[in-house]
Amino acid sequence: MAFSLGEYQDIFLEEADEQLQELNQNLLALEKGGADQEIINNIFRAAHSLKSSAAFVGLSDLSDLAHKMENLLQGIRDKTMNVTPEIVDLLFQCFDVISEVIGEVASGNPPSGDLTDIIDKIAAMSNGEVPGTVVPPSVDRGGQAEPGKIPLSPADGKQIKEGLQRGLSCSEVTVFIDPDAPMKSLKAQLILTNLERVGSIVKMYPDIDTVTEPGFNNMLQLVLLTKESADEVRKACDIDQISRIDMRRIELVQKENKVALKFSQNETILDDEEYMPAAEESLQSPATADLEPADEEIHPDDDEKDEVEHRADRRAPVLKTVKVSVDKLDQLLNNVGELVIANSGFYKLFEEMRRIELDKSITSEFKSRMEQMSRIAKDLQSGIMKTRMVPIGQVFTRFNRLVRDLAKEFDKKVILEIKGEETELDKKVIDVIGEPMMHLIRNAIDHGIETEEERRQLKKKELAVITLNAYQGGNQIFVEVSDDGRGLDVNQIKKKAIEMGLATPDMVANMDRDDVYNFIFNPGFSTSAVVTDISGRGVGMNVVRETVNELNGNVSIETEPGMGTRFIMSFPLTLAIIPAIMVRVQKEMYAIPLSDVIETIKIVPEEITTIEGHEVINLRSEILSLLRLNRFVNSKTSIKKGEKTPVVVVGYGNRKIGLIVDYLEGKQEIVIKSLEQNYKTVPGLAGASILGDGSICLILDISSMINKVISQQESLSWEEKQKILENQESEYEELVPEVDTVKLTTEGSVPPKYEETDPEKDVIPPPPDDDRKISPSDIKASAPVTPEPIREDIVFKKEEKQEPEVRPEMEEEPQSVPEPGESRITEPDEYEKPVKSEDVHEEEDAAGKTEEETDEEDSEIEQRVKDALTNFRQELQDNVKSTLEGSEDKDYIRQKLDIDDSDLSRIQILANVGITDAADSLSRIINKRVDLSIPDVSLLPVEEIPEEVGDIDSVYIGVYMPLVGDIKGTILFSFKEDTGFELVDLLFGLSQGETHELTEDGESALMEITNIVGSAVVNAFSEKIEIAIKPTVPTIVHDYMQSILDSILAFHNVDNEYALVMDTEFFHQDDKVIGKLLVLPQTESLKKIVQQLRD
Amino acid sequence: MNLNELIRNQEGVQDNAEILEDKEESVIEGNVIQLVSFLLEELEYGVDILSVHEILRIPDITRLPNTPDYIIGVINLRGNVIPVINMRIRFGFENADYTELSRIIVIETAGKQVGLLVDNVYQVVRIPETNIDPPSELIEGVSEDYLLGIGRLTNRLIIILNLENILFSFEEENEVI
Repeated sequence: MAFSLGEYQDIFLEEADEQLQELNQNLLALEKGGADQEIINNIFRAAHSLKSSAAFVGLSDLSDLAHKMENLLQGIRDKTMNVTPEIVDLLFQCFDVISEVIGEVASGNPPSGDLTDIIDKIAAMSNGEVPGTVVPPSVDRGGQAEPGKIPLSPADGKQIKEGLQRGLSCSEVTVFIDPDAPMKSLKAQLILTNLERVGSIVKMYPDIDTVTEPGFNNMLQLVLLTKESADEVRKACDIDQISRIDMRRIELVQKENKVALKFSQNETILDDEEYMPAAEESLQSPATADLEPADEEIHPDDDEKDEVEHRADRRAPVLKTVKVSVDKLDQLLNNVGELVIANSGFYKLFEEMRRIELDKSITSEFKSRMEQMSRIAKDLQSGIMKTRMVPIGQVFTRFNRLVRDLAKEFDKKVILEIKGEETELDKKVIDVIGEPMMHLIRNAIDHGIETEEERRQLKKKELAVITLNAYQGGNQIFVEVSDDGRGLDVNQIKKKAIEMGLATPDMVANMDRDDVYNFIFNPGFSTSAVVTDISGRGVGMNVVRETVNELNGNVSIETEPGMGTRFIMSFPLTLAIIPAIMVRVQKEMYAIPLSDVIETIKIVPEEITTIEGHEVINLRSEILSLLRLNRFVNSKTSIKKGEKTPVVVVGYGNRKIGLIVDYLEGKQEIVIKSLEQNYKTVPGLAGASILGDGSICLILDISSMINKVISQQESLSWEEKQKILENQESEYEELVPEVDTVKLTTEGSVPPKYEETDPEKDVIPPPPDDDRKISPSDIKASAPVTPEPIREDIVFKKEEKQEPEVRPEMEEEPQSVPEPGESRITEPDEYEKPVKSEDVHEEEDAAGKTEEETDEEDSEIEQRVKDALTNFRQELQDNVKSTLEGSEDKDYIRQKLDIDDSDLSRIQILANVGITDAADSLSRIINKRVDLSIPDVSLLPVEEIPEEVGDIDSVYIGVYMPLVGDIKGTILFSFKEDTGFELVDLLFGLSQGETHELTEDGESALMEITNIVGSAVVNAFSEKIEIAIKPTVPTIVHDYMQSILDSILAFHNVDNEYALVMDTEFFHQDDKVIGKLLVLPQTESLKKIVQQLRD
Repeated sequence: MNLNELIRNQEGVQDNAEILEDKEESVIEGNVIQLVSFLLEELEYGVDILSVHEILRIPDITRLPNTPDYIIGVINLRGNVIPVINMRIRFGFENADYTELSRIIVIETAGKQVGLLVDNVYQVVRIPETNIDPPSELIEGVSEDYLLGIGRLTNRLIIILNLENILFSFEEENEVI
């Protein structure tokens, strides 16, 4: 059985860890900044808590050590000792020992180390150097003045008398503030404020001015008139770090003819455990109001006797936070995820209800309930996800110590700069991110940063800086470790890569720098000639990548020779839900985490070269090993011989393979469920997920698949590889359509290469089941084009949906790739209809071409080419037409989107409501009246938006907020640059014109404003049309309007041709335009809105 | 799935419950344990009712590749992904098609929920502990490790399974081979 400290073990470990952190932290500060009283007090306090908690769980050695540390620190605090490097080092040693003990306990072993050594050392340090420093605590705390009489003036006496006669009770309260407490005067004021709430203060000593002075001596005496009980008074005084509260009643006594004030016995109503009421005896001396002779009698007040005796460390009647185990949260999150999924079942039921035509009132009631529930479920989900978020600061601060130690060891001058410590990450990330960061920091100090001498020669600052930064961007969290050292040496990496056989000299010569840098993540890769204690073995960087990948994250490197290196790790905002590409093998659905996907392509079987049963293709002069997913999962494939097949190129680290699948189904957000929970790890599977229809799909474990395939590939000989590369380069169709229109015709007329398979003979597999989420419109869409290979078209439709995701940028930051607009699927006439603008619709051209190529019969191909050309001409004509028509609302847009005037006016009304709310909020924030223009709702081709919205040549600050939920789109709040600055001035109460550039604060202020304004609009919409819309985190762009809109389009809805623009201007009272609010829903969402409004 | 189907399913569940109750044996005195019994190739097996979570009709099962053949796949039980073991294959019998009577008994053992696909859930049996004998080696196809004992009823025997070993130790054994 494991060693355990009983039920408090977990609490102890957690606390001890915190205390240790604090100790380290403060000691570093002490070392740096000398003996600041507050820092010493902090250390002292942490050592003290450690002492008591260790004693509490029975670790007497540890407690003893902490005690000795305390003694030593006391010397420093009492200024009988100086902070010497020896002391600091010794203290650090102590911390290490403590941390060791804690580590042992945590891993379930009894502490083995002998602490006597270090205890002796520290005792020697405190005794030997400064004898007699070990002072008894009571003397130390003797700094407190004993409570004496509080001087009462005649007027005070009168006031007390009157108060008492009115039935109030009067007490003298003496509060002792813990001598260790920081900011005592603040505490005193807090007590004062609290007491004023329960009664009126007649007199206080020392008076309020002295309290705020630094010399305040920890004791506060007050005379209080109150109608509350003593307990209430105690509560009012009982704030943090109060060592003792005494209270005595003051009563009126009739003595002869005179009225006297009688002070009853002082009662300690609160006492810190260590602080024995040694002062008790001095308290009987009754005070008198000088008005009247005093009553000398002393008798304790029975009914007011307050026996509250609790220790300072147990004093926590109101807990603001609750510690919850992550497991519980996981469980909860899991359940909520289920709730969200289960909820989607209701939608199906609702459709069914509508179909069988139940009573209309019932169905609509059902619908509203259902939607309400779905909203709540989603809120719940995001709420719980937020509870898992932990600020990264606690991880960052740990490295202060590491940097200090390493810098010392390497004799380099390094400081650690920490930014963005308040950025929150999922607990799971926080737990493991420490290790990769440690490796990065070690590397930076060991390899990256030059010696002092070198830096001087390079005319760099001698003090090198390592910066840790964390921030959020989109739905990614970025964590950076950067140094200002010498940067990565590309040539050396290349050399090493060749040496290690990771690449050939030819390969290296044509490589991107980024690809070269990625070599350093390979296991065993080290450019360091010297293996030092801490780095150079080539393990660290590999660990970094492995760890980050495990968290579905990514590492990228930015480096500049001589300037430094920056490692950027990005993680998805939440780990519980991940975006994935859904693929199908026959009827079985599998999910591939989007973070693992590089691109999707299509290949014909001829491109595949088989060597010893191992299939590869030549993809852009690179050997890409293939893996047939159906073989991996032991099933058949529905791909016919000779047919083109979709291939998902997946990557893990810098290795990639192509996964041959039957169909691509599209992107979906999935909740990961482990298989281990009820079974065990299954090779090749990362888990399972439950889809909206309740069915289970399995999530592929790309890293294990790759490892399997790569080991095969590595067994290929060099000649074999060469042979593959000599083969004609694979005419893969990149689904990323960046091909020009000329190619369209040439490729289209190439006769099909694989005529040996007669498509007629092929049994066309039945179209996917209805429940596979193919809307009928898919089939309708393809029908007019070709009656024959229906299946083909469906496949292509699906891929097209993938388009935006498979853009080449994927490799860099897969998660940030925008969601695909779903518009394609439900816009059946997309292909037949001419497209309006060339530049925006390049994709579509290419998509059309993709369609061309797949045709298997000459005549059909010709027909297609003809069609495509017709389309192209039509498009040109339309282009001309649209130019002629100018910016008026275009009928054809409306036709196409099936939106009429009444729809627009309905939207306008809605927009009006929302924007009025938004103006209200805005005026509240900037504290000025805000007017607004009636929102102008119009349909525009996207390329016209910039002109419509702003002055093309001016710089704007645009804050855009992507919308998620049932409606997707973007809200943009744009300000002209100077207006933006003015707004910042206004918000921060600066005088006008003070802001000249956008600082981080300014940015966040503008983002906040947009958040508020945007949310108001969104709420109006989501309430009215009963659709869940959620604004997400705003992003700020400071640029020309065109660029701002471009970045929105790029970020969001690349495939939007037209946008519904709701354009409103906000004015100050002086008619000055503040900014413009634009709401740009995606086409599909726009249709949804319109439909909902019609209903 | 349409409404009718839903309702039918609901009825099915109730039928099931009735069947179980109807056939329940009369109470026997003494320290009694309750078993859910099922048939496999004419033999009756029992699992402790306390470990039985629920009994399901056959839902959609998602095949789980790269697992032993007796793991048919996983099912979604209210958001829980649960592996299903085909008891026929597990115990070395020929596989057979599902029938109207096929059921999945969801049991919980060692903190994991596992579904057992059986031909027929027979009944709930009460059996006094005194009527349970230690396993003999005569039982076809099932090794001793997976049995708790054999229950004697007035007119028949019930093989009582040791659930803990059913899913996991079997596999390790196979993996070694």
